[in-house]
Amino acid sequence: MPGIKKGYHESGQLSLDFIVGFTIFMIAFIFVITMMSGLFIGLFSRTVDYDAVAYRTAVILVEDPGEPRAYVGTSSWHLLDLSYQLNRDSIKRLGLSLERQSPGHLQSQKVEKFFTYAPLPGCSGNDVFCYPDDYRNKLLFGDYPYSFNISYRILGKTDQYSVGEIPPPKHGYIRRLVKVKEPGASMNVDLTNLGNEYIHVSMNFHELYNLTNPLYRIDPLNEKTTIYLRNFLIPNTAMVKTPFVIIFPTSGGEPTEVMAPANSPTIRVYSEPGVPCSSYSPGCIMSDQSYIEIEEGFFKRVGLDEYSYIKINLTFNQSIGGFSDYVFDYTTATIPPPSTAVIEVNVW
Amino acid sequence: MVNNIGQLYTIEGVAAGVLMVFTAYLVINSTTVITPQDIHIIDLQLEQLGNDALSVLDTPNSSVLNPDPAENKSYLQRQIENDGGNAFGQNFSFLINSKVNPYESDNLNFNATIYYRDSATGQLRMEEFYQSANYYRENAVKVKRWVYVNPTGQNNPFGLEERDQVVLVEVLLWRG
Repeated sequence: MPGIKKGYHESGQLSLDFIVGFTIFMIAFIFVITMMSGLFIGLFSRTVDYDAVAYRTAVILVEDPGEPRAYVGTSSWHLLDLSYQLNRDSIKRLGLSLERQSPGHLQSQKVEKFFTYAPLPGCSGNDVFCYPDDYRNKLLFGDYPYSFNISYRILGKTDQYSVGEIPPPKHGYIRRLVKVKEPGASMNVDLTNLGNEYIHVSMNFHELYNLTNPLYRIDPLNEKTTIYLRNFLIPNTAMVKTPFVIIFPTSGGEPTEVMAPANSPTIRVYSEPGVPCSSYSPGCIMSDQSYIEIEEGFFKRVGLDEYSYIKINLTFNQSIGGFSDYVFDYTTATIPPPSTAVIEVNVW
Repeated sequence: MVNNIGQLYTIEGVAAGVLMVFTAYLVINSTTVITPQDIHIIDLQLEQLGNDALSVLDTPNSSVLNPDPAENKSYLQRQIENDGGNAFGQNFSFLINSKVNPYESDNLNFNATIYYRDSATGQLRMEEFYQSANYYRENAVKVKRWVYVNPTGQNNPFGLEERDQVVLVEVLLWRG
């Protein structure tokens, strides 16, 4: 048509460059779609993921002693005072088993500590775990903020421990059965009612800690220890001196004496169950119900370890003790039989 | 005639392609892909529970240093040596069905069998230990434990030889 000039831009033809560009785009697009298809499988199987996390959490709880764990010179995580942020930060993992070699055998003090918690922000500065952050960071792990409910009961009892909210209908679940070491070795001292006015109860820690299986180990460094005094035949026999510990240095040399301090952890003397002796002057009257309790952590407080050898001196106003030591070992002392407990872990 | 109008399309195509591939690579690398394995997970839960229950029953109350020999034997050992399967069955059933809530219980059934070697004939023998229900075709798992026994005296319900030996306790476990 005269007056109208057909320019390059008005032609209906596609440019070769456009076709090449579009082809490259389409190839890349198909490639990406192929890569993405596998990504969605995980989204449709969330309960499987929850089950796997529940299983993993239960394995850590039941088969791992946690970190830090107890070995010579280091305290287990459950003995750390969480009031200090440094201690809280030093706990890496919350496992409840006694030792690495004893999966399925739990330590009851760890269980107690594990279920001691408070919500944020009230937990900081107190000796409790922060719910839910401490549990997420030290037990469940992973980037996804899983919700959880962990509960525990000793079979034959109705007391339940639990941490977490009530689970929704769809959640990951696992149940485990475990043995729990009950703390507190004890020994009966049958008095002879002749001989000295004092008795010695000797403990060779190296011998006690030499037992391989921790489920049956007498553990005076970490558990309370009780000595029952029996067979008082002389009337008005009284303890007239604060109990003291004679510590024999492992490298030899002169033994040192350490008095039981007034505040806990210490050695407490009970004239009868629940009635502690308040004064040893003129004396605390003894009976066949009397016992002394070495509180959890006392031996660590006075600087003892797994190689120590000690004698506990108890002094009375009558000649009631024999001439030899009363030895606290596996033939004279007993530990309570382990309990059976059930643990449930729910994750969602 | 050569000009730069068409070249823009090629550059855009290449840039878009590189961007998409790079983004997809990043996304896929930062995400865990979990394939559905529902059946295996449920099997695993049952298997774990069964193994736990056998382990609990095969744990003695005290160490070998305890002067009372009865305390040094596990419950499972005592049942095989002396008492037979009834008490074991009730105890095992109680353990696997117990929940944290004391007013709830699970509904699991099991068959337990003992395998041991008869040294006189060299044959492997099996005895039914306990059967809590008839097994038909439910989805079941099998758990096993080697148990040390040393039967002595008159009470020997499975007629085991009086010597140190290990017997295999095998439990078939199912829900329902």
